[in-house]
Amino acid sequence: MSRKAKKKTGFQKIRETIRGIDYRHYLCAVITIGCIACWLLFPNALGRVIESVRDLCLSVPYFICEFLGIEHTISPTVNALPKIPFFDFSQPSSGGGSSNTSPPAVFIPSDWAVFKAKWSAYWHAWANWKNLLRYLVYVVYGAILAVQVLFLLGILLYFLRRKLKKYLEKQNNDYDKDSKGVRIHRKISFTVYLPVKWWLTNFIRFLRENGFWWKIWLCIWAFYFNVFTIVLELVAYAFYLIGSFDIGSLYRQLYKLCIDLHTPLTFIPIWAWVIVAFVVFDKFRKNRGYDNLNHMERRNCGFTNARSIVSLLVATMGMGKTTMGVDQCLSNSVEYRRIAFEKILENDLKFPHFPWIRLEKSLQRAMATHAVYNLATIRRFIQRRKAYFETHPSRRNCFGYDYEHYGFTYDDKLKVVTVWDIIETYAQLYFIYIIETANIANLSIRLDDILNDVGNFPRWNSDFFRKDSRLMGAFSRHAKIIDFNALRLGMKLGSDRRFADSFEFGTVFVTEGGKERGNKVENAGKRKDSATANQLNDGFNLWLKMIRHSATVDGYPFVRVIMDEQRPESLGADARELCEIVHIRDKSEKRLAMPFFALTELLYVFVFNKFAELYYQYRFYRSDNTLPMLWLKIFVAKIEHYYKGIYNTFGYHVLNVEVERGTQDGEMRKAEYYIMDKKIYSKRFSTDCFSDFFTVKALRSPVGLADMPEYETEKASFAEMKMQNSYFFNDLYDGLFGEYFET
Amino acid sequence: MSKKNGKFMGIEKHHPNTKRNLIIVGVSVFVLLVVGYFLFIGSMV
Repeated sequence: MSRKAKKKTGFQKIRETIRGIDYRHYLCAVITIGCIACWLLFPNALGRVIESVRDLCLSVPYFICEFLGIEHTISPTVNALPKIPFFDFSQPSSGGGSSNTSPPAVFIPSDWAVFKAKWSAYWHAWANWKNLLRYLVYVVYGAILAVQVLFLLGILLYFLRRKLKKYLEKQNNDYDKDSKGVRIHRKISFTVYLPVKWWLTNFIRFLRENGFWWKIWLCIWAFYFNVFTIVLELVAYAFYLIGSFDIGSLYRQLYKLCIDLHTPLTFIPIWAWVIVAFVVFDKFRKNRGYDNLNHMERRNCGFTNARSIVSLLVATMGMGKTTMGVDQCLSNSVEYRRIAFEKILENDLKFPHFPWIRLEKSLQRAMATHAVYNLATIRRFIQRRKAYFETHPSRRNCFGYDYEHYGFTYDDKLKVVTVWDIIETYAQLYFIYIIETANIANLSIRLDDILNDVGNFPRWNSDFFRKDSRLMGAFSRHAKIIDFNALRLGMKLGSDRRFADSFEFGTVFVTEGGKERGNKVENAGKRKDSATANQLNDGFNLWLKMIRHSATVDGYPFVRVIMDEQRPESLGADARELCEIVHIRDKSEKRLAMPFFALTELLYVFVFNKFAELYYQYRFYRSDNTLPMLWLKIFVAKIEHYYKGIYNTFGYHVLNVEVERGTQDGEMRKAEYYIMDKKIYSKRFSTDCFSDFFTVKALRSPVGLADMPEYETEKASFAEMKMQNSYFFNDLYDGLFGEYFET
Repeated sequence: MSKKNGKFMGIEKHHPNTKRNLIIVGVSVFVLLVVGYFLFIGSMV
């Protein structure tokens, strides 16, 4: 009984295991069996793989023997024509070779001499007027066919338009009432289309999670389409060619390649090739688009690196000065890491035997316990380790460095430095490299660099253009909140001084910098000896002048201060003259970095404009939902989403800028700066960053725009002018009546 | 809108350069025709 029970338990376990397997695995297994069964359609695939393995097995020893000068009798078969069919059971084998081969007819001849003759004939035919005219006749036939198709399409569209216009003749106010057709459409959509779509989406996700299934299918079809054969033959021929230098056999290989490609070329239908061609073309143009965006980003980095430590962006409202400032902040972050990484490598190579990973891990532990949190504490940390080493010299106290064998000093032909000097520099650079956010601003900026770390040296993914916007929440951070006290070397505001000495390096962005600092006129009346902090006694300008001292590591200042304002004169002269002033003169129309989008854009413009006109007529007259309009709307929405997606990914503007010295007495240097949508408009910042102030102000108001009084006629009355609270009118009123109008 | 309600003003969210796009499409068609001629001659020989 107990044995039976045990058996049952075991059986149940197997059954439970089988039941626990996702049913989609069974489906994939069936698809795999189906793929294997397709072997019957490709009877020559296995034979070609066997031949290619044979060719490789002969070519490799042939090459070795030829290379080492060993006498041999190896006869490479890589130039032999394929035996098709390989397994011919109807006739007795004649002992291999190419005597009984019957390869498929391909578009090039089997013999080089025939090819040369045909090549000559080709160019004769190419230069023949009669052939050109014959071709043009075909082109005209094709054009006539295209016109006929377009004509039929036009008639169809005309009747569809008429049908839709008929809907416009009937006015109604049936708010959101579905027609019978729409109800049927929704029913089919909910019961058939959407479940199928969700199932397919889940199935694709399932295949991604269980990659072995699609890899098996890929291998099977690669086998059928002679991909393995082509690769093996290529390697075999490479060995043969290097061993024999038989250049004359190249044509034979080309012919064999055409025979192997004949299978996929003839098996895959034309419509599938069209789809494949479009997918490849789309991939190509998108890659070109990304290359163009990266090129523009590198030019932006070049522009930003060429600027002074402090720069002031100047433009009228809406020209994009805040946008450009934010963009420069983002580029600066990437540049700091790039430069820090370059310098880390330079310092690494000064002591190639130093175990830098031990130093990095030691720093990480110190950062985790907050013993190290800025450049000054890092220097202190290293100095203490150095002092301890000097009293207790051992490898262990020098991060495991074998100084006895590899030495303590490095001569760069300018000076001699010790390993402790380099450790201090390396540690600071490492800190700058791994710190997540070095942007400080008076507006919020979203940052999305991703730190990839598998426990060794971390790597940053700072690609702005290929990030999936759906995953934005998973890797986004934001700029640090600016505490202006940290930028003041003199008097400070408020009682909370925790962050007053916190700033050392990074990018500081102050939008509306002139309004924050003021100029001589605006600061008139403020006193330097005031008991409270103001623009004259807070030492901000002194900080600007000395900021590079706290941020310079290994000779490079890891700091930039960017301000924006509408006029350069809005910033006081002392601060302004430290800056480089960047004037934004012009902003281009939106352009596209992705090439070959012209036809799609033409179609989009045509469809969208026609639809928009029709749709708003429909919205004016009717409020119900009808099937033709629903289908049209779905169709146009799909096109619109595609078009918008492309422009949001590859769109950009060019800012024409002019750079001048802060003293405003030098010449203007013209330059271009690229504002790329995917980088800067991907929830990066809010252009109305101070809007919350106005929200509070507006909430305080008991009335709105609709409540404000209107002018009675086209000419303002005297009483209406009095309502304006205008300085100008009040002066006129005062002149007229001898007293100021008061509310 | 309809005639009695005045002309619909249209929406211009983007400003595609239609003339430039037409030129690009025209040049692309011409290139395809030239490539087609090469293939046509190839099919004859």
